[in-house]
Amino acid sequence: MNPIIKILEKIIGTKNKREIERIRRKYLGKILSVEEELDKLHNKELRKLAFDYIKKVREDKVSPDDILPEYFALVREVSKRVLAKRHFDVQVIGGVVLYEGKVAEMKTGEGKTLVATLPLALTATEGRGCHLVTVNDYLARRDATWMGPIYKFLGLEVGVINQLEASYKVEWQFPELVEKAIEDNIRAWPQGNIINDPLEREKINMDAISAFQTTLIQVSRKEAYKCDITYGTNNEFAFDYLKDNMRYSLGDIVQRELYYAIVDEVDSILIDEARTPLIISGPAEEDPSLYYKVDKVAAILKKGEDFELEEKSRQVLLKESGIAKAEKFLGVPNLYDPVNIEILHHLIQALRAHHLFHKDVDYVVKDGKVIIVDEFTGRLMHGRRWSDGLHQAIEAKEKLKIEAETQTLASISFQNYFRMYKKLAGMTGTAATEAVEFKEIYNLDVVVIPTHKPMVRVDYDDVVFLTQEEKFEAVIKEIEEMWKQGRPVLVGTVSIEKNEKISQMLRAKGIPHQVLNAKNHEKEAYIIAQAGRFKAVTVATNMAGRGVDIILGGNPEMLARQEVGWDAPPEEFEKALKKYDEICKKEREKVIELGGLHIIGTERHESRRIDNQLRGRSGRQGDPGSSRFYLSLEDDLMRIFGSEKIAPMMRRLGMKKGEPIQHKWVTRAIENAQKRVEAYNFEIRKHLLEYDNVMNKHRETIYSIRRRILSKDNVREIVYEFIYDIIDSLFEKYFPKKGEPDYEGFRRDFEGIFGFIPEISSENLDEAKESLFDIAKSHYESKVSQIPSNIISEIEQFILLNTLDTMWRRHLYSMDQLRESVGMRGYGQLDPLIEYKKEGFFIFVDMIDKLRRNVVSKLFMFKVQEGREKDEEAEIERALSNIARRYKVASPQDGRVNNYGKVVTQVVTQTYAGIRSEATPKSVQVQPSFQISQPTRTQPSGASKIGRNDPCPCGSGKKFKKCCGKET
Amino acid sequence: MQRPAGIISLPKIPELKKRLLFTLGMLTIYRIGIFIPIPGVDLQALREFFAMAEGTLLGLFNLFSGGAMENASVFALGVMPYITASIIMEVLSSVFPKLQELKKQGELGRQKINQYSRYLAVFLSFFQGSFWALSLEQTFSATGRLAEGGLTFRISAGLTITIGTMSLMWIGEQITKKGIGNGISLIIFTGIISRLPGTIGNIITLLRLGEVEPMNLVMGLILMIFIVAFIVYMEASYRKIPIQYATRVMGRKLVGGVPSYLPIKLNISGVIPPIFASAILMFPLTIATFVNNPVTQKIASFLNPLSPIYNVIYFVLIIFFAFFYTGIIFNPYDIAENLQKAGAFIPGIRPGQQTSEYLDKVITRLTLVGGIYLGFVCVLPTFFMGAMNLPFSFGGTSLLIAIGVAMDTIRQIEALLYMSSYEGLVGKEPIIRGRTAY
Repeated sequence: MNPIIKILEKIIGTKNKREIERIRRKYLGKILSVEEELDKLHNKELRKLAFDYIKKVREDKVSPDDILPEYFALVREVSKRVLAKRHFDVQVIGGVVLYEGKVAEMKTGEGKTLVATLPLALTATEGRGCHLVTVNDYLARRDATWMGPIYKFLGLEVGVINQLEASYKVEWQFPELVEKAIEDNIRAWPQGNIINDPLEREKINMDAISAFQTTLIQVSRKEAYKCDITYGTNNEFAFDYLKDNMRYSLGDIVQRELYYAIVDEVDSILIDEARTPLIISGPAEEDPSLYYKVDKVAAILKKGEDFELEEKSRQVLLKESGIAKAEKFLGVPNLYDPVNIEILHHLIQALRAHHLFHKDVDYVVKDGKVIIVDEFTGRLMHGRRWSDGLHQAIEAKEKLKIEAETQTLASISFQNYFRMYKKLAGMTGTAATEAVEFKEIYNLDVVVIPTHKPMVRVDYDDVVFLTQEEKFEAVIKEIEEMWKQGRPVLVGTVSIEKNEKISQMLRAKGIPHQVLNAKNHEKEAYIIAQAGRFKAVTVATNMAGRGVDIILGGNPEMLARQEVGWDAPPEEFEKALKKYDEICKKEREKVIELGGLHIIGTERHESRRIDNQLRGRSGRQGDPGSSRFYLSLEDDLMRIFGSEKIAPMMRRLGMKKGEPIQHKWVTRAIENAQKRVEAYNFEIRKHLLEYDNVMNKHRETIYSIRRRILSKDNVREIVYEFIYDIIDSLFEKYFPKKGEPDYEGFRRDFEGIFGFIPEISSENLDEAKESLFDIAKSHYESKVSQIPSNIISEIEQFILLNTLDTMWRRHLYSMDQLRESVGMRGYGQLDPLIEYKKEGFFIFVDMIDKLRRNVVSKLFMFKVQEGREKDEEAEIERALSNIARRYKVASPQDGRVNNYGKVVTQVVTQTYAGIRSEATPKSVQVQPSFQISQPTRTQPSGASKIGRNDPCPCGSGKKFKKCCGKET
Repeated sequence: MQRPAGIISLPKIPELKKRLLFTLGMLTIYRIGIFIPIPGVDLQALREFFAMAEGTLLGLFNLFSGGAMENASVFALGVMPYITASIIMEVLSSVFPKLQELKKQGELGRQKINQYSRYLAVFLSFFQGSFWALSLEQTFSATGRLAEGGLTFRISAGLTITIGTMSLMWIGEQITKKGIGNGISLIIFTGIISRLPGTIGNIITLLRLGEVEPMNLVMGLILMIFIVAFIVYMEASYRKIPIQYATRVMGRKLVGGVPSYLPIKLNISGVIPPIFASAILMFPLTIATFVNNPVTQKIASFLNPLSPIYNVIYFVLIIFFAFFYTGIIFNPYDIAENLQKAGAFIPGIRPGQQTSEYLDKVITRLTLVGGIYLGFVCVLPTFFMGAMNLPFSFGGTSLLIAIGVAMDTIRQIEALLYMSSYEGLVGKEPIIRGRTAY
């Protein structure tokens, strides 16, 4: 295969070159000539031009495609004036690639943030909104504020969305200064100076920079989305989408259309993080004491004797003696009896918690909570919980308070979320290796943008040791060497634990260093920005400090900012800046002489791409630099995925302690191990996507119905559609084309739903269908005619949405179960995916059927009592929220979000069965009188437990278990 | 309740239409390729030879090749070398630990094994091709030698046939990727089906000539329909073993959702047992061809496919190989282990040893029934040709394969249809769509 790939690469490589040439030829010349014209314009004229363009696009319907060269030139010019940054030619090319909806591979340090401004601003002129997706909250805020001046000058609004509902908008920090600067034509970049390189510090007009500063003000989430450009993280965007589809009124929906998105670090977000679906969950009922009990059992079971571990799939295999011990300890005769299934389940999770999930590697304990550490980025994933009782088992293990198990309320995969955008683009330093995946799954082409200056970093061969100890010793030795010389070193590790270990060893040697654990992005950004200084030693996990440029000699702006603070007057800042400029310049020369930043990798990651990301932090913008990976045969990668034979083989070949191995076979074995893992992960991702595609169909259907319901005018129509469909299916069921018509059955079923007995006889069935529909319709209309129309549509809407949400929730669960169970069918030589599609379809259809029935019967059955009316709006709301409170059902204003990722709406309980509100509002009261029982499995947390033999609270007089607590 | 779009709507869905047309296109290329001969063969003589060999094992091979053999086409061996290679790899991988490990390593491991199968297939097709060329040299028909001999001929034949087989494999994979169903199976299927028109023509001629009793023919047809129905029924039969997951619990009960089960086919080993059985039986025959002495010749005469002894031995061997092959690919111990790994178990039965024993019991019983059914179907052709005096072979492996492939393809088409059936399910507004495929 390899020679073929090489030939293919040659061909594609030239394809890439051709692509770059095409863009260069088509656009660069024009953009330059426009820029030369714009350069002459006064600030005021420039701004007017910007506003004119917006008007042209929004009102005169000019397509942005047609004004690309002119507008890009405009953005470039504005950027010069407010930021003293001029887009390099390669950056402009990158901008075009992004605008065309592709993935632009741009090496670290090429200034991706600035590149994005071109396509974003251009698309923003349409006013349909565009999203910039980045890896963490800090970067979202930073990038928006950094580039804010450009956008603001152009007349575009910028919003930022962060965790926990924090949302911002970019505004001028000193509006009066801005006006003055525009009036007086003050510009950061001198006029007439068009060069394809950064401007020297002395030539920059600092007054302009200070004047055009932007800052963030807090706004609502909806307002942040209303802006022309919105910066945020992938999690926030996707969660908002899911939350929007749980809202109860159109006014609450925050996201506008999904028009254009640029994903920063696109390989990390669309590939690495694509593996886990995004889930919003709510609490489910459970007894936490079982977790503690089971935890004790898990502690006494011995590995090897009582159970085995399967590291790759993170599973536990119980052995006979283990089962016996557990049964004895828990006083359970047979752990595998279906009655004890819950205990068994918790025991397995407890064992996993003890032996397969490690503190400070997979999770941290913070403020009495267990917080998941994302394996790829090292970030803390607040609000995310492992499912199936695993999180609880870990909480029990760490002797913390156990939070209730959850049920899924909504879910989506990142793949399917981003595929919803009309136009998608991405940027990253490492994409070419995954070009196939990008194309296949997202239909994104990859274009490699040439660097502004040639890359001269030296990447040394890997050094492999037998044991981890030897490896770390060698690493420390190298760090020491570098440090003595004064050369800055950046050490990359795979976990917080390893970070600590290296830090310990360095401390023992007395080498001062910084440790970054991705725990605080903002703080760490400042630390890592200085990782290129003389004698700097930085130890960081994979993705700590990502997105921050490491400038050799240090970053003078950030140093100056750190000294004077954010609120300092511009003059102070400038003074500090001048000072640091000098210092950094000198250090930079020293460091360059020493050879630049040296990168030490301590372990290979599961993907070669991530290794390359680490390497790429050195050697930016033509700087010198080097990298070297230190590995050991005891590394996780080798242990789990490599061949166990290599270590003994090496030992047999007489390798001595402390001696590195540099054998072709070993390198190849390691590379193979990586490839194996990459293939494994790719398979998982592909599988996840194939299954999620089925769910996606379901989700699309349900969410589009939901949107229809939310726009009130359609609600009645939907109700009639449902009625018609029900009658239709009843006809199919009871009057089949072949077979005996079942009149009695039809009548009974019909009455059960509509509440009256239909006239049906053996005469013309087809007419009967139509006439029955009319009868049902008029029945309903006469019933609701006495209620004011706005109230009745509120009620209809409410019942529709609520029932829909409940059914969707249950459907999610069923599909999850189905997904697991189809795996087994492979044994029958059936393709699990096909089975999933087939049964999934039927489950879905079934659910829709039940939805129609439930909605219609509720609507036909409820009774309305007249009351004294006061202020209608308020009364409606009060009535509805009474229902909500009483039955822990989501009410219209209840959009509160307690916790990131946690439940938005309260868990929906069972029925509307015989509601008789205690606190009766002195107004219209809604009182359904028909009982529809639904399974009681999910009690809302906090609802009082009703005994099964107690009288049912709905007031029917029957026992609870026979009434509302009846299981269907 | 809404039903999914029926097969009739297949042409209306653009995605499916594309795939269908592609598949048909590829298969057409295959059929056309049948008529490309390898250099150096006397085609006329060859055709005559095969006309005589209609009912023999050789005739069966010709059937498998879709008539390629009698045309001495580059596609003469069809995809058989690849199938043989895969089977060999399958058997080897349960014997050699190194291969076993590979299998357990998921996708990459399987791909590696696949790769080995392919290399093996190249090897096999070269040698089988040359060997066949050799036999062509030594066979005579009424008009004379089938082919001029010589080393060059053998090597060139071997090479061309290898190329032919490889191309077919490639076509098969393209169909799997861009068309409907499993390409390789479809090619075999096409090969088998392509005999049909010829056979029908044959029968009509014979009917006119009075060599065939119309009564027999009618009975034969009725019987055929029953047999097909019977096979479909058997092939679609599963024993569903209920499965419960220990990791999927919420609250006090295991609620909602779909009950899980592990389906085990009645006929787990597919058509492998008869292939093995006939291979074994061929062995003495092959020896008899080369070693000419009264003992071997007597044995050879016994092993005439039409003789009762042959059929009895054949039947027994099939059942034996059914057990043998099932044992290889369906290891109760491995399944029990996998269940454990997935956190699943059979309700009432402890995982590990107990589960493995239970599964073993179930599989044994199933295989017995399955083996008998298989044997019965494979002995049919003899019955047809011998007892009923009908001049064509119906039944046996070709029928099994054809039906199996058809059923599988229909399942795949169904899946595609389901995905497209969500339109207009609820409400009349178009569903908000993104950039997804279908």
